[in-house]
Amino acid sequence: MKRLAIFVATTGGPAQIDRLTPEYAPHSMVCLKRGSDILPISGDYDDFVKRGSGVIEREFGPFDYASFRMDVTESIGVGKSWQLGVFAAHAVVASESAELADKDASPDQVIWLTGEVDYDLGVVSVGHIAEKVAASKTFFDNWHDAGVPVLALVPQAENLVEIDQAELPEGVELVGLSSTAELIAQLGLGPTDAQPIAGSAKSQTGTSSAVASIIGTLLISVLILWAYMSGVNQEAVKPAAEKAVQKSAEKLPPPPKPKKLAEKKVVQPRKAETITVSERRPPAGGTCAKVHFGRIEAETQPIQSSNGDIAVSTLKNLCGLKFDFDLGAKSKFIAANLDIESGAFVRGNVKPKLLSGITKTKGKQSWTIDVPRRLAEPLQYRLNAIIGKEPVAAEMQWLKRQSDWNQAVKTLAQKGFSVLTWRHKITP
Amino acid sequence: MSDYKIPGDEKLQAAKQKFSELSQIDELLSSSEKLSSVSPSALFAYANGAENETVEKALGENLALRRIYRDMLEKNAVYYVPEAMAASSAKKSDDILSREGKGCRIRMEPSRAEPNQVYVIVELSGNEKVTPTTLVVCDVEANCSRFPLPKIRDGVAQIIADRDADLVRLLSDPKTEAFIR
Repeated sequence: MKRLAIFVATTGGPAQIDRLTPEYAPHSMVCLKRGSDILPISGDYDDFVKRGSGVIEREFGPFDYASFRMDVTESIGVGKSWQLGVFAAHAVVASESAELADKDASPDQVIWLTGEVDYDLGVVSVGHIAEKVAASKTFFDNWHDAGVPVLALVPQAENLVEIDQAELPEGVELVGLSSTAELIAQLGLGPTDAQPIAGSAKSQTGTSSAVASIIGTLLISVLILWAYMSGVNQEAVKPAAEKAVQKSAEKLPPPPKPKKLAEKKVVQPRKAETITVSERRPPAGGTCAKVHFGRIEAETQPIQSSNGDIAVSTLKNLCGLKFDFDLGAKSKFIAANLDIESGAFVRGNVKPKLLSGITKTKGKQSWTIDVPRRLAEPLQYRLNAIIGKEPVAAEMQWLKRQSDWNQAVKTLAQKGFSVLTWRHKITP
Repeated sequence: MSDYKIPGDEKLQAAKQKFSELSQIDELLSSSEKLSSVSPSALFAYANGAENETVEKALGENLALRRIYRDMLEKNAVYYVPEAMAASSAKKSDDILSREGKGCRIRMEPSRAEPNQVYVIVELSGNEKVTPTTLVVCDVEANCSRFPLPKIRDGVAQIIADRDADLVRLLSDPKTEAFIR
């Protein structure tokens, strides 16, 4: 069982969530250093825990106790940016695969968080990011020196850009979150753990029959815009289009890596950078239940590509999917994202951290997900990957916010990033 | 020409009541040489939450003054919780006492996280318009201690205290009485 140390980022330095104890007292409280000093955020914490006003009991309850006592190592002031860290601590305590490291324990991983959690489990941006990073500098250095990995989790969008500009020390992995489901995934809490699952997937139960059938075909569309730039007469042929692209680029959020943005070189993905999507189905005589519980290994069958079409698979006897990202022999940064276009949420999509665009890697990286056992409507998703020589996490966050997908991909391609995209539909 | 506005019946009644109380205190205080060092208005203000070291010192030294002070507390309390022995619902387990007054209950719950700490839980079910801010606990000799109440949420004020803290010690004594104002 891994031991996670949860730290709430504050402008006065990080405060560790030392302990979470169920209590019989009516109100949940936040206490300082295991003493009887009650922090002013206790009322807000009580609201955050209680069903009706908050999300903790709703997502992790019902509880046998009336409240929680949360002990922290340092004071946490006003505001609600502690909510993401507190949600993480409750998720860890509720899980079967991890435990909360107290102040005296040696953690396997340190989690540094700031962010607000709304009633729909969205992660909302907060303020004072630069101050929080500055106040944590020694903290980051100490854990780095101790050889304990540090994962910084912040709301995506502007906070991710802000923290990138604040220059986190080397060795700190940074991930932007838009929902608590992503938080659970980043914490590596397994699908069997108590965890919030968005949408209809939460209530999905039951079994499916065991007849294998593959109707799917594969679509791989490698979207790049090198053609826009590589032609000799391009300036003469499409001056208006070129200006439009430049104008669009001017509206981008502050570039996380100015040097990179200064480059106008267009990179075409090389053949070594590929995505392969495979169906995971049980072997003859097996069931998806046995696959999900790890009793038998699923058989993987790569989906054949068919340019221009969306690959289609049938749900019948489909246990899950496997995404293989081949980066070739040279180390690169890769950020992958699964964008659900329709249908139910995919469970167990714990994305490997190497696919977060923060850490350099090479060769083949895999990401395995389970699909729901039942679907009320087709599940259609788009798998995106951005590959570059510099960290690409901020680019992925930016890409997810764009409404004009093709234009966004063109813009990224102009800046030297490779963008790989797959689209796939699973029918009931 | 004056602009004096004659108070209504309710305000007039309240003024008469205060005047009567102060006169009574004045009479009691003037009957003793030692008590005369504390003015009735100072004692009245102290009973209503004001800080006053002179009054505090005088209270510590004089039983008669403490009894006057205790009577003032009772008259001005929003809630009163009598001695636990007098309350039929009082119960004692593991040295932790629960006691009730009209529209009010005070109970203590041991902390699971810290065995040497207890939750003091003040539950208010009355419909009083005034939001209490202070808990005053007095022993049989009218030695009274004041404890600020935290913000009341859903009719409950909750405090964490060490088992050997004055508040816990006083509330664990069934002979003490509590005033909430």
